[in-house]
Amino acid sequence: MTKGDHIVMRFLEAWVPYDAKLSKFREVLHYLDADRHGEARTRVYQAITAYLLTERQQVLNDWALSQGRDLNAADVEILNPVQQRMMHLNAISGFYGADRVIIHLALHAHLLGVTEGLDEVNDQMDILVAELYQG
Amino acid sequence: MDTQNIVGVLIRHIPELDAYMHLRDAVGNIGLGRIRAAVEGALHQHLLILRRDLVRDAGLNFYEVEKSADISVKRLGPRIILDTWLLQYAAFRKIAGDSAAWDQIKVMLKS
Repeated sequence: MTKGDHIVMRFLEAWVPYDAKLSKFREVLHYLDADRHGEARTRVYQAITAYLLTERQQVLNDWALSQGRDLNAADVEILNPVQQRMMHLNAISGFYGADRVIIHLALHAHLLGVTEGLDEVNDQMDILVAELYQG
Repeated sequence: MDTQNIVGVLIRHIPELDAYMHLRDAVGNIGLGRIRAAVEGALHQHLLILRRDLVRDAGLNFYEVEKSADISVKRLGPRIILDTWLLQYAAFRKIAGDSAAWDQIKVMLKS
């Protein structure tokens, strides 16, 4: 397993009390060997990313609805200030697999205010950013 | 439901199937089923590795086995795609020398 894979696993473990669905992703990943099940792992990462995107959109939409209006870009900036930076990173870096999942887990954690495991994710984000700007 | 019955038979051979099915049920139709489709895609890739293992251990040719397995699966009639993938695995087991799961599923689907 790569360092990114380990971080995803530990972060998902930290999320067990908050999100039963994310814990079920972790249970499947537990069976996947990085060398042997690379393709399956990639698909699971895609599923996690799609799940987090959907959930995050729902949280933001619910908030906007509670304000009696539709969601706009400024709301996203206010509610989740890291989103713009990470979306930019996501778009230009072409991060693949675990790295992309880490970005979305970090966004989700920031939005919902969950801090368990976040330090490590933030550290990894810094490494990714440094690598990106070196390249 | 066919899928649950087939999984029930295969779970003894593929313990991780349980985790996949729990995840698939948990995500349900979130994101218009896109997430469930990705989970099923992961399971398909996983089953492919297991099928390769079966063929390698039995010293057979993958494509020959696949051809025979496809014919056997088609004889059981049309199924949803996930069921087809699971049945292919059972057919591979049968061709590799262990027909117990295949026979059990076949009786179950025809009853």
